[in-house]
Amino acid sequence: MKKFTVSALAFAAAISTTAAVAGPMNDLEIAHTAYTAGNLDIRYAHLALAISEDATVREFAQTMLRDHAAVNDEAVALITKLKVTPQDNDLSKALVKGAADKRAELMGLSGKKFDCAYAQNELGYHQVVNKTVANEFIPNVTVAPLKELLSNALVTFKLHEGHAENMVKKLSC
Amino acid sequence: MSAILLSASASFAVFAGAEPNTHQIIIQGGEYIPAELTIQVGDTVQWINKDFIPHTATAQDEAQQVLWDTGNLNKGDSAEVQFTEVGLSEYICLYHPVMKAQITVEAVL
Ligand SMILES: [Cu+2]
Repeated sequence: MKKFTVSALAFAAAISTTAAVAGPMNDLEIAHTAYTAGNLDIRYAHLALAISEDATVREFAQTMLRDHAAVNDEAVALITKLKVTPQDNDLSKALVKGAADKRAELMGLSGKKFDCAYAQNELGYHQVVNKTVANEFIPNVTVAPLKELLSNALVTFKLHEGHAENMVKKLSC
Repeated sequence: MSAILLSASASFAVFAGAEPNTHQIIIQGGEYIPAELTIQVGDTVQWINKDFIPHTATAQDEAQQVLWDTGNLNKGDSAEVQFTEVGLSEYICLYHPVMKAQITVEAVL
């Protein structure tokens, strides 16, 4: 009975994973989604710099701009070198849609409400993206330089996750 | 000629303990390596950023006044700081405050 429960759980996890990534993604889809995730975080950061007056939030947003720009520069350099074109896919589309909804919600907020919503979203966003990069993208990607780029990017995104955690705590939302 | 060089390096070795040294700290994977370093007063520390995101190495006092700072270090950049006072210097990356490390500056014996 216990055995059954465990395997049922594992099965459910596998299904939700498959649903989330809409089947195994190829290298070009993975590259597209990783790049998209970075760009979406840049857009959140621009919104934060336009709305927030909190020093902690603004410093975090500036770091997101600086780092995601650096990561995406590396990605563009690699894509150019490999002469490939990243492929749009369901996960990229879902991320774009989710972020558009979230931005609409954030734009209706100000002051502490905005700061807390932005900070919590950044924490959740980095948690989900990091899990996906670590458990799906890095194991599945086949081209070595792309695997290396994703591994380096993951180190950066983990710094951001820790930073976001501290920001949420500091804001005492 | 080589004898002169040898004796020159030999005499240097005798006084090596009192000569200021330069130490290297690599910034890689969002970490300072090594994270803990002990040096002698007068020594210089050089930070080299091997990540592709920018970092800093910055020490601040409790009022967040900057005590010393490498400034912005892009990929491949390096910067040096000379330590002229004895004591413990804790520092962070201004961009990623989760990055922490320390330098202990000892008196020259
Ligand atoms: Cu840093």
